[in-house]
Amino acid sequence: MNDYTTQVADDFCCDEELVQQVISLTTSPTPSFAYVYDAQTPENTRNMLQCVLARSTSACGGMNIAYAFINCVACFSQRLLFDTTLNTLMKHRSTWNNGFGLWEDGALEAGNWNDSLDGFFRGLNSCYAMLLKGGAADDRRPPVSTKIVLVFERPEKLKETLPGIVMPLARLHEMAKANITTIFLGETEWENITPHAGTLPDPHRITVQTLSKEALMRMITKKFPDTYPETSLSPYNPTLKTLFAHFVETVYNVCSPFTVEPKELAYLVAARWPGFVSPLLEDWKHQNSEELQGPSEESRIRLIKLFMPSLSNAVESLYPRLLSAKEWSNTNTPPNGMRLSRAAAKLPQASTTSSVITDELPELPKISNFILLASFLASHNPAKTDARMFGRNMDDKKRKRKKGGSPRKQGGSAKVSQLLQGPMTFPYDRLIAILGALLLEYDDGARQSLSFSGSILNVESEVFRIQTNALIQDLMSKHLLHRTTAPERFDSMQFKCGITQEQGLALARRLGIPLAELMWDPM
Amino acid sequence: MATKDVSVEPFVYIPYEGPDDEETADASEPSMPTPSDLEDVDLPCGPGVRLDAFERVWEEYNEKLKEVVKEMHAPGVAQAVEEVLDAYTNVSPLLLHTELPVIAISGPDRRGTATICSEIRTSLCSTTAEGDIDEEDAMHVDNSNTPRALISSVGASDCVNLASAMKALIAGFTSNYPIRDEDFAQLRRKGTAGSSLVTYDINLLDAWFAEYKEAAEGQTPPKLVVFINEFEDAEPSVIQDLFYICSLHIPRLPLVFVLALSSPKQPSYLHAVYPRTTLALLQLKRIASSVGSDPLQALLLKVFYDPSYEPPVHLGPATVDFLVEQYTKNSGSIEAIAGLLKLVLLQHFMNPLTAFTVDDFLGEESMEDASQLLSEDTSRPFLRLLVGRLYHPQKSTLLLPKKKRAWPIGGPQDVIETVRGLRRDVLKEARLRRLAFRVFLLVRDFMLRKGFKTASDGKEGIGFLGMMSACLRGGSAAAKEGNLSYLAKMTRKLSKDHLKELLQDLYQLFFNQPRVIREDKADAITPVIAKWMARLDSSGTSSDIAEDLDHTTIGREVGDWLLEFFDELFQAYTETNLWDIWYTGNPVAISELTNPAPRVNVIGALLNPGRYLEHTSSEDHEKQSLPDTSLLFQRYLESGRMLNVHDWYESFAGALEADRSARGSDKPSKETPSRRGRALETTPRRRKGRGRGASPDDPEGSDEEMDDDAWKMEMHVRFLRGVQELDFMGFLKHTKRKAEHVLKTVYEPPEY
Repeated sequence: MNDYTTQVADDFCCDEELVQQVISLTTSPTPSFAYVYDAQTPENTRNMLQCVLARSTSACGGMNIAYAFINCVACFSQRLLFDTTLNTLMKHRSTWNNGFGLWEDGALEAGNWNDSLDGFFRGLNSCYAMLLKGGAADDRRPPVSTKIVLVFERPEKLKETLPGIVMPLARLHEMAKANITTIFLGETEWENITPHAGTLPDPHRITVQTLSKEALMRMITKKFPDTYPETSLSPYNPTLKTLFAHFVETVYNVCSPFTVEPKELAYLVAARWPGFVSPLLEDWKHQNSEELQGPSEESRIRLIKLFMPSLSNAVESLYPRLLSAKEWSNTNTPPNGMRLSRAAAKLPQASTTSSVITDELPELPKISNFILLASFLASHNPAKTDARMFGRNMDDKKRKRKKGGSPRKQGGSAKVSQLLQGPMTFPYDRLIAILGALLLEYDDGARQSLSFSGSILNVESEVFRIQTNALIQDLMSKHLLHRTTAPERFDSMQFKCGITQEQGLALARRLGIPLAELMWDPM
Repeated sequence: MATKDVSVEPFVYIPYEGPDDEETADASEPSMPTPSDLEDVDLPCGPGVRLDAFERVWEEYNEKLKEVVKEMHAPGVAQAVEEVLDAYTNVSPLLLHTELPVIAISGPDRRGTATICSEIRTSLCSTTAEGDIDEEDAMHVDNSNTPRALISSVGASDCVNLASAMKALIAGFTSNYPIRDEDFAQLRRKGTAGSSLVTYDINLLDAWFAEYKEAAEGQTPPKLVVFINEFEDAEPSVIQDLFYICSLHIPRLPLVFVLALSSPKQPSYLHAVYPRTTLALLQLKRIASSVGSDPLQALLLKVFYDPSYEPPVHLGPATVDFLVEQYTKNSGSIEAIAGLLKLVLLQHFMNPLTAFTVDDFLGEESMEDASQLLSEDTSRPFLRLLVGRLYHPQKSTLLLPKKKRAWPIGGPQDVIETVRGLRRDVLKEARLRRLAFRVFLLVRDFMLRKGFKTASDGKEGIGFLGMMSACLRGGSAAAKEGNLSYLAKMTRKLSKDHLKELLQDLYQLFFNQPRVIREDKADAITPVIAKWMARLDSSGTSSDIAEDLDHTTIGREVGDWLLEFFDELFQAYTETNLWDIWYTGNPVAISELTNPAPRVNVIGALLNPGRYLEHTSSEDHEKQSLPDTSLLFQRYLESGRMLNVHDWYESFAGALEADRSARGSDKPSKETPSRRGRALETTPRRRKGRGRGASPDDPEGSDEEMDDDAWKMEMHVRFLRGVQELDFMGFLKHTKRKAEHVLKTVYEPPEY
């Protein structure tokens, strides 16, 4: 047994202790409810559990165990949860030929099993009965024990979708009157799943330790395929396996301050590796001898040094998925024909391509631009300053300006700039009023009329045109302008601007508007 | 008036029997000719003929537009299709998880994105092996080809909860693609409801797809493509779970998502709304829907400025400017421009003369029938108009020979012949203008490519679009907008190599024109260019100075020729007689229809009802004929933030009284103030008295008293009706803050 534990621990890069715990959990009759907490690698733990359970059922385990893994996100309704549980437990496949029918034991009609909790318990019970029977018939000697193990993944979702079902699941053992162990495999603490601890039995808790650096690296290095022939000029040539291990270590060293998720690290590794080895492969192409050799110590160091800066760049754009791994490695491949033996000291900077996500605003219709700018001003200027910022004097010459560029100092607590506080909400009327003021001052089209009152009329009709309203709607669907009131409410709508200051400034430049002058509190 | 019998409640519905000011409002649009104007000069069969012509023209345009748009989308579509087909291949072996391929089509134009998606769909549905099999066949498995992809569409409305979203996704596959002609729904119905998988269970799709693959027998299984339309409207929490569930079943189920986003590629909606954990599941490929910097420019160039395509109706310069303005200012959507174009055409065909646009015979079979039609009595006004335009054109330049100016010379047949000749002229002129525009573009682009600045300093596109309309206006407008003299100057100064290159390009351009144009013009030019080229080539042999001299002379010649060429071909479109048959006119009135300003118009109508009412009264009657609502509205504007309803009524009643006494000669005018005062004073009491219904037996009920009471009641009623109308139009906002007061919604409108 001990050998087996070591082997499993090795296969899944986890503690032997954990494996030991899991084995005892699945084989002994108690505890009937366990909570496995794994914040870092739930998939890995799941696979380990599955491996252990599969072995327990097989001949060498000698136990009569039925088990099922149920994903609580996928089973978002009670019916779905019951169907999936019973089907996977009994390894029943609903196919075309059986009319996508559910598992049934022949004696009872299945329809009753998935419409209520009681039915579900009966279903489990009859599963258990089948198991007892099947175990006895199959083997001449009586089985050591008969057991059902149910593993629920992402149980935190149950709190949202089926809050009432957490308790019955936790107490399946007694409620279904069968030898059932329920295991929750969660990414959060047990306390986050249950609001009322009192009503629930306390689970037997197992906490999976975070992976050590070695384990993590082993996990990733193990993915290196060994199916490629030794003579192939591919990045996955088995000769490169040692180099790969070193590479993974470098990636870990650079990226571990940002993330230690094995999935993410593997993602980074997968994105960089083909580019990383390409200078070496280029060397191989030019070498005469048939035998392909890994790089020497010295060239390895040189290679790693060469690619080190691009790794942090990779984290920046790949971790938030600004680019997919494929796109990133396409834009960041070393130049064609670059060879390790004559490599430059530095990689050329990858040019930013159009697919990189930036904050730049798209080309919009002219009125849309004005609306956006008006929304920006409305969100960042206090409402009571509007008349001063946008109003005109009686002589229609020059609008009133406040003195100086800084806000008036007021007694008491220092005021925080609106730009730092984020946008305020503002009503529709204010948006329209500021839009009108902007159009009047800065739009050539609206000022076509010779007289001032004529251009006011032009603007007045412009801001209330159907298309202007349609464009406001359009901007909301583009998430450049947000409505803070409910969409079905037409009266006194409130908005909030959705562009950043940089975008606002760029927009103002595009329209030729001195934005800083129009802001009450420019930074 | 119905008001006499109104006894009990003041709040009653009063049907308005006065002139209806709304209906007449749209007829008074200034620049749109009303149908009644046109009827006078129209042919009896005119509307039918013109409608037919419109339909023919629009159909042709529509096809052409679709074709051009499709061409514009082609790279994006091809990329998306390739992504779909390549999904799940070339996956890096180093990844710990499989990613769900997601293709996001994003573009500012919602309808444009939708078009791309439907094009992707059709492209995926067609099988590779046999090209054009129609969709039904492609879906069939019995056919030798399995389709490359099975398609399911999920709308945003399905995504309100997870169950309906999953159901839509699964049903999209299972109900659209029968396996071995068996009906999926029927199969499921065999069992009882509770004994088979639920419709929103992804295991159902799993089982179904397993069967599908088996039925396909070893052929490459198709991809399962899910289109999510109007992705922004879908609930993010639902989509998040949807992606998660789907990611649990890949790559066994080769699911690929195609999202139609109406938000732009930058800044990315997906990254703004969805958490990193969801994005980490996806292999996201973002494709922008609008390719090229300016789709409108490309569209106009391909439809209206392409020498090889002859549009049946040409755009006038005003229309070009209008379309450009609408595009840059308001919509930014090609589909919207297509809609506008349709309206422009409709307006164009309102002109009775446009019966000639596509058909010389006015819908008749032959010349004889057509002239028969024209010589009928009912056609007289039309013929008169036509002849008037033909023989007394507004322009001094006449295309017709002098001797033909007398009327009538040859009867209707002759007129038809003339129109036919004109059409030939117009089409030829338009063709040549398009050719010249292309030459202009070529030279301009050449200069820009070589790094010379063209003098139009603004953005590249603007000068370009401006030139599109300017070349129609002809002469000096074109020369100014396109800066032709500068262009010619640059040409004169070109170095030898550049000159040679330019000449080569020009030669190619002229040489590759369609036959008609080559016969008209290009064939005369190609030899000249060839000669220049030959001279340039031969000049290399002589000594340096001579060579230099020679190529500058050639350069000068080319420059001069260019100027001359443009001058000749950029003729004003109005030069030809009857240009309005083939060129669209001023479309500004359309803008008022597609983009109305209801608020301004309503206020304007309330302030100056005379403009909108048909019985426009003279100056002195203006005050009298003001409708009640207008009266009320004027008083409304004079008040402050809040409006006291009682004061409002008093003022209104005063105006009515004054009006009544001014009109009524039997009532002496001095009585007015006292009457008014009493009326106001006693209003509540009187109302009460009427409420009790005591009036029939009223002992004081003299004739005048009765009349007075009725008049007061009428004033009440008219007031209430007016207020109600204003309320209905949204000028009032009720508040509980202050009794008998309402809030205003409009303050100090500008002068209308």
